[in-house]
Amino acid sequence: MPYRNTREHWGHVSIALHWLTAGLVLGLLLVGFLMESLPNSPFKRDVYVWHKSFGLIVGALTLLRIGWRLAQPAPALPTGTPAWKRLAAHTGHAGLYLLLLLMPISGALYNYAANFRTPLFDLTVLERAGSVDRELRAIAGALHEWGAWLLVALLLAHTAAALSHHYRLKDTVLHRMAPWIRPPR
Amino acid sequence: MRLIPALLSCLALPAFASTPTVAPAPATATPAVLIAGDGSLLEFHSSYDEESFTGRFERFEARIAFDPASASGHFDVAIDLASAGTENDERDEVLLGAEFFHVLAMPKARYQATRFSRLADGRFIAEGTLSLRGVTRAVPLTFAWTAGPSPRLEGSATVPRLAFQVGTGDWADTALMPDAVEVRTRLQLQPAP
Repeated sequence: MPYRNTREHWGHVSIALHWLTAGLVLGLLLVGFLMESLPNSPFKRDVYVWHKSFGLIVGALTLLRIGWRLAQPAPALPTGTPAWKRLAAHTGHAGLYLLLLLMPISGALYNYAANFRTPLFDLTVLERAGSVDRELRAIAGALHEWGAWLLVALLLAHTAAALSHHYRLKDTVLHRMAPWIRPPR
Repeated sequence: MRLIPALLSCLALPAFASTPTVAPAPATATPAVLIAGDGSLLEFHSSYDEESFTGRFERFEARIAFDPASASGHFDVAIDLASAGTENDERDEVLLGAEFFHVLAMPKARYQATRFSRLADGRFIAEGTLSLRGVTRAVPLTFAWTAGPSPRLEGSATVPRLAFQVGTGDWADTALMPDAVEVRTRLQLQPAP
């Protein structure tokens, strides 16, 4: 069972972490952009608690992913990939990892500065601060919002690159991460 | 001490009760009206989803006249609901909104009391009424009175929020937010100007 990565393939752990994160991040982005305009209600408050909880989970998964990624090889880019594309790929991936950490951190900071408890659903990860820190809240809020837009941009580039590898360059880059998609012929 | 003979003469000669020489007896004298000064506070305690919080009204006007010896007087407190804060801007927005205090429609709450009784432990109960969101209802306030040149009143009351429609719609769920809201006050009183 190839749960570990090799220079040719992503292992099951990396694939599972990637798609689990992808699903959660898509949901978090969608809910994150919509939830502010919900009318005030217990439901809105619950939505925020879920957003915060799943966001923390993504942060934890990302730490796990980075550890897993550093502990073993990652599949190489196809031979003949030009240097600028290699640089773009590495920068984009580093940016994605960074944002997957920055988003939960800025969100948690915003939450703390607004004097909410830090929730993991019904559990409390961190008690509320006791008072509002409006300056910190403004900084963390701006980071969170700009981070979200940057994440959207990087995810679009990431998806476009994966599709381009699959349909235009006809290599196995997408198939390696999505083994249920047949490799191009 | 001309008072006692005067009173006696009133009793003996009711026909002369309106004699202008009769002074009011000290026990029934109207106590001076006092207002709340520095160090006064008005707080409320509740919880949401088992997380407790404390709110505070930054602006309220209390006019308090109370004679502890006879347990008589009158309270009139006007509370600026928009001054409520719970150290959380998001919660405060909901609190001031239409489903809770609805400050745009009814910016003030009022507590009035003219009947008082004494408890065995030396504290008092004001048998007052609270007007909030257009509802007026009896809300007894239990308080301790510390006499002095600037008397201090320390009291608490339990306000059933749903009777006043504070927290309507889905917010009425008492499993999320109990009906009973504990209100506490400390009034550091000084003579009204």
